[in-house]
Amino acid sequence: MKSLRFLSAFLLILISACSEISNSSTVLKSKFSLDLRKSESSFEYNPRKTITRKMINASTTPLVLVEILNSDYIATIQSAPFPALADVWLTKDGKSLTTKDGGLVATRGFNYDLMGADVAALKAALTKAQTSKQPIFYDRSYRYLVKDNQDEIITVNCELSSAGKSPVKIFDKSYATTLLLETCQNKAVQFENKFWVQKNGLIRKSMQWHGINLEMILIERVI
Amino acid sequence: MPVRPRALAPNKTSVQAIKFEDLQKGLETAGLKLKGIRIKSGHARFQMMNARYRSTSQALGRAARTISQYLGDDIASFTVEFIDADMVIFSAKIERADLERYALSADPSRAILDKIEFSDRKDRLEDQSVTKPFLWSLSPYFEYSLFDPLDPIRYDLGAKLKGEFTLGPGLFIDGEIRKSILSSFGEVLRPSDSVLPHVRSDHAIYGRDGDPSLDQLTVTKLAKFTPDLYARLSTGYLEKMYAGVSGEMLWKPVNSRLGVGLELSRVQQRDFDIRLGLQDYQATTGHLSAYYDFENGLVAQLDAGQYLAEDRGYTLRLSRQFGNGWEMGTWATITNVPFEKFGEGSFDKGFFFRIPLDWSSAQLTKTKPHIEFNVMGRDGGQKLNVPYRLYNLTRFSHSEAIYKEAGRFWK
Repeated sequence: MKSLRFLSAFLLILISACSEISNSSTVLKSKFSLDLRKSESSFEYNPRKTITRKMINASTTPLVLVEILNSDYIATIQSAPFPALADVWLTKDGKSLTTKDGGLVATRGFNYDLMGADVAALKAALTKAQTSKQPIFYDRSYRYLVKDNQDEIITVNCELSSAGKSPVKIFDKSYATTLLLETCQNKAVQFENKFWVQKNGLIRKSMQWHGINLEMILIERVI
Repeated sequence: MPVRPRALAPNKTSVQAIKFEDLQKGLETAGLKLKGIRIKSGHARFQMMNARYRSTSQALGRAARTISQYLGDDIASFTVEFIDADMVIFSAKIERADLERYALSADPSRAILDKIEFSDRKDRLEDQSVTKPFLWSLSPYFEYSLFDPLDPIRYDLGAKLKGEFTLGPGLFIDGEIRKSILSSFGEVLRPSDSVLPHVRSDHAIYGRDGDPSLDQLTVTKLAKFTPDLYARLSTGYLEKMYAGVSGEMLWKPVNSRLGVGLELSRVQQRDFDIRLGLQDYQATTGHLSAYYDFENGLVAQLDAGQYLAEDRGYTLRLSRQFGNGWEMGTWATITNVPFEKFGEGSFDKGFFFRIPLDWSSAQLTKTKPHIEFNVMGRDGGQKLNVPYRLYNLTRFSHSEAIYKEAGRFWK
């Protein structure tokens, strides 16, 4: 009995200590800032079914739709309202996804975050691959924060090649794009990224590897 | 908060655009309290307090990225200085080009730290923040006593009222009053049979008679004599069992693994009711201490000097903090008190661990509950529990600690 009282008291103090802390996060309120679990989303709240082409045409704020393919996470995310080194896409609950020239370079707030990635070689290859018939070879690196706050850097050998014309439809609008396939591997991992690239170089749609935990992320550039 | 890149053609007038209040608000959102700014010759200097992060590396990264959002493009570098107890704990000079280069890169996190110039500083900027001179808090407390054969688990749960009044730079009076609510300390199960002065072994009598208790009421002055020399002077009711005066100096450069401290105190034992009265026993106690922070997270502390029972000897304390913030350690004290005279246990020893609350919750907090097991504590080898020991201010904020959690810089 005494042991139970001791344990209860300890837990009470622990809970009290926890309750003192308040954490503020940037909240982006917008009709497009839908950030929810697929399993929680009813017909009304699924962004694919809620957002219409008419709503998109009425807005000028850059917007992406993000879907983590091995989980139930789906969100439409607007660009952050502050300048940054790359394009920061910020959810209403403070999660963020950063892309540079369309390549995924960082995430925050997703439990298994990508802290940084080298996309310079990818950018050069994407430009070249649209006109080249030969595959392009290069290395890419990804940096993660793993247990005990240590870095884990994954470097992979990549090959990029064109799969030809492949139009994509995003919220009822078709875009003429070229599909570029990037296969990357090292001794431990292997994945294939897909980029649907418009003539002007904009990546309209992509499926990109985030890491060994979240794996593939679908990113559609809506606005 | 991401790094803001500078424009290719800097606006020469942008320095004038920085407003203390704007940056203060931005840093406050990031969990940091801005105290002062100085901008001179294309370089900006910021002094602030870390109010949220257990990891100094994470706090420094947040500070740097937030500042980049507000700084004019013509300022190529800036210095972040963290303040604790009204003293500059470290200074970190950051080139904006390095921030922009490494922010989203796949390079190791240590790369940015290698570019930062860590240094010691003494001078404070004018405090432009609004600080309330009086602060107070009311919170629960929990004390325990374990391994007594007559009652293996004894506890005391109650409320503590803490207050602090600032008298001047680094000069403040603070205190703590406790009121027990649920306690099993009401009975002295084993009166002390120690043949040494009862400097600690009457703790059960304090537990029985001291409710409510004035656990601490001190006037403290903290200052830096030189950029790497810290000093403290405390007087009043220093702890539950002792009142008196205590002084301490610590040499600890920010880039040094070694720290050396000297503490000297003259104390008188307090009455068992833990109010204002004093008993007759007086003692002079003090230690010369060496601290060394090993690369693998191990910190060794060796104290040599005179203890509360005026016995002389040394204490070796070893602790290790792991990458996730958990810390565990042990200590042993050998003095000139013969083992048979010391009593059961032969010499003072124990172990402890600290658990960071941010490890188990999504909330960011500096709080680390401290759980200590003093295996058979007696009267030999006992130290004064004086508040604001100086090494605690530097241990988790100097460059070695920042490097150990390098990955958190970008978190």
